[in-house]
Amino acid sequence: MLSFNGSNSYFIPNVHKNSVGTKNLNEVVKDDFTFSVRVKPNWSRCGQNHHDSLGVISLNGMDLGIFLRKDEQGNYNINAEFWVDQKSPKVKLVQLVSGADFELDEWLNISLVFKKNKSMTLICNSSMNRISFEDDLVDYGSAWLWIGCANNRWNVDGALWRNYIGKIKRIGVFNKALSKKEINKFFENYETKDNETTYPFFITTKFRRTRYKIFDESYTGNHLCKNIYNTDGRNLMF
Amino acid sequence: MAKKKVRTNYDNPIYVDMEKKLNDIGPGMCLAKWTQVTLQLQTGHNHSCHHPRTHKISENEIKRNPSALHNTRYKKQRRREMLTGKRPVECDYCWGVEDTSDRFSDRVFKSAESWSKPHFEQITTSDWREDINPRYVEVAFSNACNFKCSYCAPAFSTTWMQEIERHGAYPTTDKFNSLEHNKAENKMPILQKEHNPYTEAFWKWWPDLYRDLHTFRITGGEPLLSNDTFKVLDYIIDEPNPNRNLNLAINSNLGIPDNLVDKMIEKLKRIEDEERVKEMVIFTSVDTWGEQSEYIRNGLEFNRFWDNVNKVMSSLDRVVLTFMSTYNALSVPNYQKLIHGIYDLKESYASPDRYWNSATFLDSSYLRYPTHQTVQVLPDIWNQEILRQAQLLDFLAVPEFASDNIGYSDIEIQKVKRIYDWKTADWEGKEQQVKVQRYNFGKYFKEHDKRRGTDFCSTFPELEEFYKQCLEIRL
Repeated sequence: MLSFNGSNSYFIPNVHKNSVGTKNLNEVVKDDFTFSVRVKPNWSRCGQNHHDSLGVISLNGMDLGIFLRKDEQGNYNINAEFWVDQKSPKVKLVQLVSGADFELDEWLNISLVFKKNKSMTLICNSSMNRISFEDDLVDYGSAWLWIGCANNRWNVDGALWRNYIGKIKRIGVFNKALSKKEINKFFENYETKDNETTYPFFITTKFRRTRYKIFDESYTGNHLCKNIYNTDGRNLMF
Repeated sequence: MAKKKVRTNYDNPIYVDMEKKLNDIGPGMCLAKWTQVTLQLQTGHNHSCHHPRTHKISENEIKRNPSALHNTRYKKQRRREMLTGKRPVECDYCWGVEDTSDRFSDRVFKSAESWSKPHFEQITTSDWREDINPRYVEVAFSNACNFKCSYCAPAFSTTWMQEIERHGAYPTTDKFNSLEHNKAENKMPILQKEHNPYTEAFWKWWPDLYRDLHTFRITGGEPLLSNDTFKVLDYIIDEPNPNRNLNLAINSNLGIPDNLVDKMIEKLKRIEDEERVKEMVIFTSVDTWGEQSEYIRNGLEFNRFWDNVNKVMSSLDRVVLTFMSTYNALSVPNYQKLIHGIYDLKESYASPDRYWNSATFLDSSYLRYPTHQTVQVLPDIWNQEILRQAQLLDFLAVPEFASDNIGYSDIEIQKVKRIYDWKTADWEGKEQQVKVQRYNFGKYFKEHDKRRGTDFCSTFPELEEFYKQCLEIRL
């Protein structure tokens, strides 16, 4: 399990520095993909404004991912946010609210499923909300995948960080639009042999770790890196 | 002539600059011909850079001039070629790289080393006949060795020599470790107990050589079985005005009797405490974990070896230990255990007092010869395992190579990734080559088990089926 206090985060860069991965993030985002996380947010720290909403899992830039936000009525929501590439306007932000009912101290199984040129689906526990669209997503080829924030790149304004506060105890990123059945299996009883059909990019269920990395159980070599800034204030990519 | 390079932004300006300076002298210029030497005193051979073949040192020359251990007449001719715009044929490894790719060849890297670069002017303005003291010296005093590693040879191991003299070459198609080759190349080792004119010349030269040394590395054989190794250490200890810029390195299999390990530690401790050198590194060797490593390196007792590793690291506060791992086909099934073991050492012995940023290093180099034991012989199903080992190293990596970070560096990761790249590379004729290599794999280890009383199948159950298939191959 990972605990987030609002200042720590993890990432996987768009390309593998040592070329030991069998799949790069910049390939994953060009096709169908699924993000799945089991989370228990500290909702009391989740705000209404963009800067105090919480990023759970995100591709940075024109952020795409799963975010948590309080609405004007004081309800807590699980959102999907992403940007599509179109003619006019050039890009468009799309927000999808899960609409799920949940207890504030409940562990939540959340998935974001993207089917290229077809749909984006946000699933929370047993509730699902889908939006269909045929446009492409904006190019996320140079984005990093962040866990625990929207974007902690060194040169990004703090208002865009959206650091998560709470716990995460299962993470899966797949190069496939997983079915409901596959998603349930991931959360309940995922086995290594399932890698053959889910095309994983990164998985952690056991959170085997060093001081700096979380082991990638998908065996594609995409270990999750702890976000560390060097003495110049830049993110250490390793 | 060297091909014009297509340069990228990634080119290190140090190498760009060095290549230009070298090419201004001539397309074959390389400072290593002056600044570096490997001396194989047990056979009376040397080479400057590991790419050209070794050549015989003249006994007559060293009688008059002991520095002719390095400054041989033969080598001076090659230097002359370099200074007069020619490319010595023996350096064809670099010419191959330069003529077929945009990469820098090793002549650029070696010339840019801190033991070469400062001497550029002195060398390029000198006469080719002049003697020079090398700055980077590797020396093997003797081939005495209590191990007979499966891929080693009689020229580097007395126990191998005894086996070959008793049983002859192995029944592979290339007659592995036949002494005929050594005889033809005039490389029959001089026994340690016999008078060795090359060692005698070395000690005459040493007081002068020592003062100029940047790096001195003692190899073998097993260096701790040679009195000359301890003589070097005593010299450094007793020298009133030691060369404190010296980088001292000693190879050892750390499988020799305890009293010799203790003797080495005691002397290195004095050198360390009295700051008589700039840095000290011990190079040791192991190619995988446990019983399988004992099979590969015949003579190794793994647990005792690991105890000695811990003894060295706990006794010497500043010394760095590098594991030279000759990654071969038999390394593959359990190399991940070695990766974990060395990571544990990095954690246990990390200290900012160490000479280098990490207490230990894993230097994984793939075996090229004998071809029957390289990773190429293994079926492709093992490719994934090699990649997973590179991924494991990456998982255990440091974010930045600094003494307060503990884990593997990019270089340690890349060296295993390179093995995967080589294993998965394809070339014309590979299939037929591998068939012959597998045939030899079967022949070699069948004979190995017979001669040495080992049991391949019980030691490597993961490879039993493959081994049996190799035994069935008919050429």
